[in-house]
Parts: sequence; C-alpha cells; structure tokens
Amino acid sequence: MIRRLNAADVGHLCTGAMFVACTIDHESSKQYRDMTLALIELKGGGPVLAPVGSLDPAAMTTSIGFVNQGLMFSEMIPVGDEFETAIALLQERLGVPLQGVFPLAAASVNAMVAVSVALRTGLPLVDADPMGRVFPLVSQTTLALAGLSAGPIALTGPTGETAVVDVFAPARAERIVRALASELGGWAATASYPVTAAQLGAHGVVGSITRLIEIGQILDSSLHTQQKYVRLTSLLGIRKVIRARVTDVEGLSRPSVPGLPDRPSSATLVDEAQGRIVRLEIQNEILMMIVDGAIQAVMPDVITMVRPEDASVAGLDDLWVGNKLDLITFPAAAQWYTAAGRALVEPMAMNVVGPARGGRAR
Amino acid sequence: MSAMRRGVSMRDLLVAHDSAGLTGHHIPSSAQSVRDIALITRVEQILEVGPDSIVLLAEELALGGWVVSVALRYAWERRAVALIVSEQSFSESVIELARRFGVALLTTSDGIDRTALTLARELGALEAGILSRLDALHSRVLRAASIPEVLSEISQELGDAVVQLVVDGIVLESHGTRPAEPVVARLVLSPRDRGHRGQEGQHGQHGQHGQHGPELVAAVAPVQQAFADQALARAGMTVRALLLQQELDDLVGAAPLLSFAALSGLREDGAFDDSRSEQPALRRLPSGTSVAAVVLRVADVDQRSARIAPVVTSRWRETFPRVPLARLQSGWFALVPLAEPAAELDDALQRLADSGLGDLGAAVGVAHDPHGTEQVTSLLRRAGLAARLAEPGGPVLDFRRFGPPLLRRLLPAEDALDLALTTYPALLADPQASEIIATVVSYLDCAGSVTAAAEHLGVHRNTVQLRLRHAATLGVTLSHPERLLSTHLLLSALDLRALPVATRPTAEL
Amino acid sequence: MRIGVRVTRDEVSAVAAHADGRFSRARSAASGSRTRVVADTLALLAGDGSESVSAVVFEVSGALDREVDASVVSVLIEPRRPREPRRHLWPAEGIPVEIAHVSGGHNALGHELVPLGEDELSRLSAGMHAGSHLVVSAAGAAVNPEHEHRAAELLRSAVAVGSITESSTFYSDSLLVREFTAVLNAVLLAGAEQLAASLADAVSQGLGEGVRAFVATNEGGCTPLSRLAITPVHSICADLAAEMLGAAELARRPDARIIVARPGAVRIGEFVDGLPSVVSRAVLRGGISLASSVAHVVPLTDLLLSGSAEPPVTVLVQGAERELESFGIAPTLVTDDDLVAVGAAVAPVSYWHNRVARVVGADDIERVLAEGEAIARANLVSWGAHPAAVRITESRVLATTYGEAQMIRVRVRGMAATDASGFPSGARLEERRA
Repeated sequence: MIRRLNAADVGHLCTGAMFVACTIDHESSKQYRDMTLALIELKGGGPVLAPVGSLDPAAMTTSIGFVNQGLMFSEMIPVGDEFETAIALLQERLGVPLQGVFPLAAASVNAMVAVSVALRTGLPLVDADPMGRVFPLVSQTTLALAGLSAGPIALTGPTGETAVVDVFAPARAERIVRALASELGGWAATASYPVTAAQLGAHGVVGSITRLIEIGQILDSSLHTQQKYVRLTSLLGIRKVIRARVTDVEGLSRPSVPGLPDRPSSATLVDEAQGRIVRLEIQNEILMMIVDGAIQAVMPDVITMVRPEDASVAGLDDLWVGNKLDLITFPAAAQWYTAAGRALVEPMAMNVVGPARGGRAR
Repeated sequence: MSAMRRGVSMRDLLVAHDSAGLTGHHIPSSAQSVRDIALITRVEQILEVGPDSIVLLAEELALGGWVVSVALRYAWERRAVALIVSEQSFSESVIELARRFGVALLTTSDGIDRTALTLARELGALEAGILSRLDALHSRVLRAASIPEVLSEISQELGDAVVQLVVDGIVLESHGTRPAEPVVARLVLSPRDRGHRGQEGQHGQHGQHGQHGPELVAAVAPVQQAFADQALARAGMTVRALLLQQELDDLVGAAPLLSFAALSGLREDGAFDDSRSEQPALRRLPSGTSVAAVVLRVADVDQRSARIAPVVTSRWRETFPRVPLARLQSGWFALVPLAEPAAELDDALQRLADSGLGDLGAAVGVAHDPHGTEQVTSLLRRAGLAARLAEPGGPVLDFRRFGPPLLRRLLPAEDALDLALTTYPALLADPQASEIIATVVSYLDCAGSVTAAAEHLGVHRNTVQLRLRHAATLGVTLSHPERLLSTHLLLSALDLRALPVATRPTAEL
Repeated sequence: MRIGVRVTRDEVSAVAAHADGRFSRARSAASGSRTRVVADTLALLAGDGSESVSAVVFEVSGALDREVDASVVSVLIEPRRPREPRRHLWPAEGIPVEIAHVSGGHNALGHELVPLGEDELSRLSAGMHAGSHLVVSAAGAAVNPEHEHRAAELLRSAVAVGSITESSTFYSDSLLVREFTAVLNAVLLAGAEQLAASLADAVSQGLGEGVRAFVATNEGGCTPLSRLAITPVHSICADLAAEMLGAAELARRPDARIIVARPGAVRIGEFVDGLPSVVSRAVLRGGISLASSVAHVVPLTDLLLSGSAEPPVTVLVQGAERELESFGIAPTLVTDDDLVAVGAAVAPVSYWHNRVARVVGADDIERVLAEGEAIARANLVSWGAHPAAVRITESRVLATTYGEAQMIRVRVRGMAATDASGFPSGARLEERRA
C-alpha cells in the first residue's frame, strides 16, 4: 500500500534504524531525523513509502547512501544538496528518469538519509534495501549476490565535487568509491545499484523500511520492556534476550588501561541469570557474540543492545563497567544464510574457527 | 597421534619445561595427566584433539582475544587439559572462563612452535622416566618373597599410597596410607579368568559383591592414577604366583591331616559314624599333648572355594602361623596344640571368625582335648558337630559348651520323645523314668563319674548306682561306649516335664 | 596540609586534609567580598601555621556564571556553506550566537581541502562589534588546526575582540560539539577570569604568598587556578567528580564502585586505582555533548544495583537517609562532611595530552607516545609537581574513526598528588608560568 510517512513514522524509523545497528554513532541518524521532521513540517507532508510491487516493474530505482573514508559527517557536515546532485548525475548517465530511491542499507544513518532524499526530491521511498541491516562494504549486498551491477555510480563529496563511475563488479565499485570518498574529503554521497523495480523485488530485502518502522513502533511505545520483547520476538524471530552486566571493555587502543576506552573493540558481560560469560566482538558493528566460549551469534546475525529499563536502543556509550544491558540477537535476511551469502559477509575469523559444538566429548 | 597412557602429570611437564617462556594464567588445582601435545595450525585440527592433550594455538590463529575464549571452549569439549597461546594480556573474564572449564591457560614468550617442540620433548623424556621407574619396580617385585613385600614395594613407588590385596571386598593384605581424596586403581587377579581386565576403565568400579576373585587395589592421589594402573599391571603376575604358591604350601602342610578327615567321616557331611577303627599312629602329636580340633565349615564350599580359599588360608596363617590347615569337603580343619591356656585359643579363634570369615559363610567349631587322651577322630567329629551348630559370623562354638538349647537345635524335644518312645519304650513306660533319665544324663555329663553325678543331682552315690542299674534293666545300656553319645544326646534332648502322664515321677526313692 | 574549597554563589565550604589523615572543616556564608570570605576561611584552617599548606584546590562549578548579554560570533570554516540552517547545540542552552561561514577545511590526513577564505574573513571582521566573543571552528581542525589558527590571528588583528576561542582547544570528532563547547566556554570566560583573580588574591591574603592554587576539573583532577580563566568549561561539573573523590577518600577505597547518597541525588561511580573512570565527553541535560573529559558518574538505579557481584561502597551524606532508603541499601559510611570539599582537597593535578598524529610504523607510535609523556611531565613539573611524583596514568594511541589506518589519536594523562614535596612554598606558580 502506497502511503505517505508522517512525523511519527519517521521517528519510529529512526529508532528502528538505530536498533539494528546499535554501535554505530546515533547522532547522525538523529540529525537526519530532525532535519527530515523540520522539512515535513515545512512542506506539510512526508515522503511517499511505496511497496516494490506498487511500482512499474520496469521503473528504474537507485540506492542512496553515504560511503565513508576519512572525516565523518559529524566533522565534515553535508550541506544538503549532495544526493540530489548525485541522483541528477545518475539519471543523466542512465538516460532514463529514476522513479524511486531506496537506502543502501536499511539501518543507521543511511536509512534516514533515504527518507530525507525522498522527501527533498519527491521520489517515492521504495520499501526495500539490498542489505536488510548494515554491512561495512558497498559490495556486501543481495543485489551483488544476484549478480547485478553496482554501477554506474554517481557521487558527490563535501566540497561539492562530483564523479560518475562506470563500474560493474561490486567489489571494484567498493574499492573505487572508497578511494574517491577519501580524496573528496571524507565521504561520498552515492547513488548506486540502479535496478528496476522488478529486480529490486526479486533480489532485494523487501519490506525492510516497514520493518524498521514496526520495530520503532514497538520500542517507542509505552509497553513494558518485557512486552516489547514479546512483540519484537514475533516480529524478528529473536532467539534470546540475555540480560548482562558489563564487566570489562577493551579498546582498540594499545596498551589498554583500566577505565573506559573510547572505542571498544570487545566487551565482556556477565549474564545475570546464569553467570555465563558473554563476549561481544565489535568492529563498527557487533560482529559476534560468544557465550561461555561458544559462538552464539555471528554476522550476518544481527546483534544489538538495549537498555533494560525502557528498551531504548543502547550504544557504545552504554558499554561501561557495571552497566546492565539486554543483548538481543536475531537472524538477518534469508539471502545471507546461503553459502554465497555467508562467503560475502561472514567475518574472516569465521573461516578460522567454526562454531563450537556445544557438547563435551565423552 | 595417540600415545599409550603413561600418566605424565601436567604439573611435572610444565615444571620440567623450566624455560621462563611459560606464564600460567590459570592452572587447575586438580591433578591432570598429559598424553599428547597438539599444535593447532589449521582450523579443522582442533576437532581432532584427543583427551588429556595440551593444545597450542599457532600464532596465525590467535586473531583476537575472542579466539582464546572459543579455543578454551573447544579444549573443554575435547577434554584437553591446557591451552597455550602466544604472549598477550587476558582480561579477567578469559581467565574466569578457563577456571570454569577447568582448562589450564598459559602464554609463552618463546614462540608457539618452539614451545610445542620443547613440550613434546619433555613429555617424551618424562614418559621414558616413568617407563624406567616401572621397570625398576617390576624387577623389585619379582624378587619379593611374599605378598606383603610386593605391596610394600608398590606402595613405596606410589609415594606410600595404600595398596591392598582384596578378595570379595575383604582386605587380605594392606600397605601404606590412604591419601586425601584418592582415586582407585584396580587390577583383577581372578585365577579362573586369567586375563586380567583391561588397564583402563576399571577405576573405581567395584563389581557386584561376591563376584570378585582376588584384586590388587591402590588408592592414590589422582595424578598418580595412570601410573598406579601401570604399577599394578606390572605386579599382577607376581602376586598371582605368590597366591598360588601359598595354596600349594597349604596343601603340602595339610597333607598328613587329610587322612584324618578321610577316617573321621567328616568328608561325609554330617555323619557321626563311629564304627571305623582308630589309627592312633596317624596322630602326629605325641600322646598326652593337649590339643584342640578346629573345623571351619562353609556352606557350598565347592562352588566358592576358589575365591574363598585364599581368604581362609590367609586369615588362618595370620592367626596360627605354624599350624597347617587342611581342606575338607565342607570346609577346613586343623589340630591346634594347646601350648597356651585354652582361653587364648578361644580368643584367637574368635578373632579369626570375626576377621571377615563370617561374611564368607564360614562357621567355626572347636573341640578340646586338654589331656591329650581323646581319640583324634572323635575330637574332630565333635569339632565338626560344633561347626555345624555354629552360625556363620557368630561366636565360635566349643563342643564342651553345647547347652540344651543348642542340642535342641540338633534334636528337638518332640522328635526326641518320639525317638525315645521307639528306642526305649520300657524306660518311658516306667513310673520313675524322669529320675532315671535325669540320672543317666547327669552321669554321662560327668563323663561317667558316679560321684560327680551324685553330687550334681544332690543324691547319694548309691542312689545313682541303683538308678543306673535300673536303667540298664529298662534297656538303657551304658556298657557299649559306641552308643554312649547317641544315648546321651537323645536323653539330654528330652523335656522331662513333658513326659507322658503315666510316667510322672513319684516320690524320691 | 591540602585544602579543598567549594565555592558557590552563597557559601564557602572548606576542608583541610592534614598530613596525618585528619580532616578539619570551615564553612561560611558568602556575604560581602568573596575574596575576604575565602581568605578568612583559609586562614582559619591554616591555624597557627605549624603545618604548612602545600596546595589549595577550589571547586567552582557552583560559582561559574554565564555572561548574560554576551555577543558571541561563531565562525565556521568549512568547504561549503550549508543550504539550510544547521541544528547547532547552543540553542538548547539558550545562548544567542551569530553564525558566519568561511570556506576552508582539512581532510582526515591533515591536507587542506579548500583554501581558507581570507577575503571572507576580512569582510566579516569589518562588520564585527568590538568586545565580541569569537569562536572559530574549522572542519578537520582536530587533525590540522592551521585554518583555525590563521583565522584567529586575522580576526584578532582586525577587531578588538573580547576573546577568541579555537574549537581545536577541545577534543571531539564532531565539529558542532567542539563549536558548542567553545561557545559555552566563551560565555563563561568573563566571570571565570574575575573568579580566578579573586580566588588567587584570597589565597595570598589568607595563607601568604607562595601557596599553590588549583581548580578542580570535571574528570576528578585539578589544574592551576590560572587555567580557570582560559577553559572554565572544564570545571562546570567538577562537583560530581569531587564528591565521588571525597567519598572514596573517606571510605578509603581506591578500587570500588562508590555510591554517594546526598539530599536530592543518589549517584554511582567507579574508581580504578584511586581515580574515577573517565569518559571523553560530558553529556549535559537534554543529551547535549560537551567536549570535556568527565568522571563517569550516573544516577543510581535499581537495575544497576541488582545482581551485582561485588557490593558497592555506599557513602551517605546526612539528610539523604530517605533517598537511600528507597534503594534498600545500608550505608558503608555516614558523614556530615562536605564531600565536594574533601574531594577537592585530595584531587591530584592532572594534565591531558590529546592530539591526532600520522604514524607509519610501531616506531612512530613509540615516538608520539614518548613525546606526549614528555609534554605531560613538563607541564606538571612547571605547575610545581616534583618530577618523581608524576604518574603517567594513561598513555596510549587510539584508532580514529576516520578509517585512515595511519591516523591515530594520542592520549596521555599525567597526574601528581598535590601533597608531594615538589610543591615547595616560596616558588610561586603564577610567576613561573608568566
């Protein structure tokens, strides 16, 4: 059903986008949320959210997203026209009008950017994305898994400089766009993966925007924490919620010192119920959750943290010794659990150590 | 790679590897033995790690602190004893995980490959050391002349841990002291089942009671278990040989006695046939030596003798080191010279009976001949009779102390009356039967002394003699010694108050 | 003897920590001249002078006033001018700020992306009021502050400004967080200058020349009182840290989780090795970030208390029985001491060295760390610490969030206790600095 998102939807979407990528800085997401809300108020209406099936199957769509290498948007702040420029360039190169945009990742800031761009350009926001969560590389998409081209890619940097890259292989696109982002000043606002609505429907993660809004509706509601978990469980297939207290946080810094590191690379928690030792491995996102030495969840599984008191989304700032958090894991989109999907997104380390078997030899 | 389990202790190994390279972050307090060193260079190898291994993670695998957590988990799953990784700092939680899994966690500053090589070399050296210790023990055991000596040798090698020879749960011989919280190493020495049960898997499992032949058992500190298994295995043959030799010695020592048994009829269960002639020459003890016959009676001895014999003979030897014990069909017997007062013999016999023989179903009977005048066969019969009446596990029964209650067990009063009515109808019909019977019994009780009987009954000697003559007229003859015992038994068993009314005693003559 | 003084608008409360572990207290209402009241209080605690005073540490969070009608101009130096108004952080604090944009900026490697718009700056200075507080914030200044330095010089030479604050004085990865911190600092400057001068006078009046004066900072340390006139923002919530420090001191627990219950608030903080855990940004009411290291002190919740392995140390300030009761915990210690003043008395001098550096190999890392430690030591010694008493409590490199592997952040923290013999009476700190 095609509908126009209202201010509440945008708020929920932001909560959902932070929930599925809790360790990535929430400030940028909130910044885009607030900008979008201001714009909705100004324009008197929100962007159109269109199910993939509502579009003409031949309609051309594009993914929208920041690719970062260097200073973050918090330091090198976008002025606001970057994506419009990129979309115009891509349209020009494709020679056909774009009829919808979707986020490069339905998570974190890129989910919010797509809403903002849809609102600015008047293009419908297509209810799908090619990751169903966030992965660090441009090439880690279900569209790439399906053998679709990542290019041509149009991009704009902080200085206003632009480029259009004719590239097919997603892995090459990742390297070239990343290098350009660095040279442009820290990031590139990209329009990539131009696909038809039919291709997106067949190979994308369909309904991911709606799902983020639904997550946000649950988390932003006045329900009790446990009731929220019950709802989330039926929505996401959550395996387990572990309530645990942070006992140790290690940073990337060397040597590590007692206290609170600025950027944790791993956190150790002790499970409240059974005293099990839970270890989170963090590299931008939470890559892995290990419980008593057994790998409980690993990329592509989504691992996230919420605050027990109100099920609000926690972040890296909440990883301080003594604090209590609820750890939640749930499966990512089904495409990622195929052999090809795993090969594309599983951490390298998983090739080294397979999952522990769970039982003891006799 | 698998090695024969020889029980190198992990602590020994890590101490032996005294290069400063190893740092222990957690070493479990429980002792563990090591039998393999596993250097993991490829992932899949971790699934092939055998129990009791020390696992070393190659440097290229230690990609992050979490790998150590996961490797600890694997180590636990595979029952490995230790994990060694290259030098790094662990958070307390990793060490806590090692503690929970009971897996030792160490780092090395030496390089993983070098450490693996060093540990493998040390393991080999320690294993070789253990083999030579076992060999030395074996040759000492071979020279031992007795089972206690063998046990003492093993015990010393195991740090004075307790080592026992056990039969049917009864400790025959024991040496050493029991360590705190021991584990048990066990070697079955069943003569019927020559192949002793395997070297592994028998620990602590005590089979169904009564099913075991002799066993060697060592209770040792956990770290010594594997070594104790090996030590017992090395000593097993010698102990078996010594056990057999003892049996043989017992047979030789008891050979002269066996003819008594043949003559006395004790071979035929329960017969008191005194019809055979005596052959006093067979008595090896000089006439006039006070002696006691002892019979150890065991029910179903045929089926169980193989398992019981070592216990019985061993216990006997402990109590009467120089007195041979001879086998009977229904048990064992011996003739014990009474060098000491009779009370000491009784005490010794009771100790014997209490030393676990009762559990085996052995009852002990004894008959004394304080003046060395009794015929050996009748002495044996009396002892045999006493053994039949004795309860397994109960007090030793002395033939002299047969009381009416015991006799009644042999011949109940009702049966005695029936028997008496048939055998001595005239006596029972006599109005004075009661007095006459009492007099006869008293006379026989007093070993044929009229004076003693008169004194016992509180009547005049003449009265006794009168009644005895009267008895003879009523068919109770006391002139045939071979009948005395049965007469004595029969009349003793009669309840004089329950005689037929017609025979109510009249007034005193 | 060290003296901690909590100075608020209404009150002066002081605690002397004697060498033998005793504490003595003095408290007076702030009436009339603040300098006089503080001087008298200090003189009272110093007593007959038999025990010399090694340091006075002021905690001034309750006495820092914002300039009400300050004119603040924020100059943002970025590659491009924003198409729409930004969401700055200072409106939430009700600070009126005028914004100006100038082109410029450096990338994550410290290379100039866009040249500094010097002409724009000249035009800008022409329209400025004398006495304005200027805040200069350039994109990429955390890595390379060259554009901020040049812009500040240009503006200073062109206008008679009240003050110029460069955002790179404060460490943060966020341009707007640095800008906000500099703006807040700017509106505190005038009051802080006055306060610092008044307190310095009070020390010399009350205790004589040569006694070192310090100001407590947000992270549980202190810096020379002269720094208060430059970066007052680092002292705006120093009371929370000082209170925890005071509680830890009274409980004599250098490594523990510490709960302080005082009327109106129950808070918890963690101590490691005698120092409170520190986070590199403060969060003000409304969730606004401030680029200032701050002791990690949070309101106690039942959740934080439940299922804890090691029970925290609880210090109850008399009068807060009811607050503590609601958590169902018994106090380890009950006190009527002014914990903030106690904490100030024992606060160590603390120096932070924060910079972004480009390194190629391990040798470079060693070098930048050694440099950082040397800078920290030199500063602490110049503040009067005995070289042997300086502790480097933190010295490390952190990955930057820039995704450029060779760019690292160096963070070094040096500390020295103020009761060390290196604080000789006679040598006057302010003079040496001047």
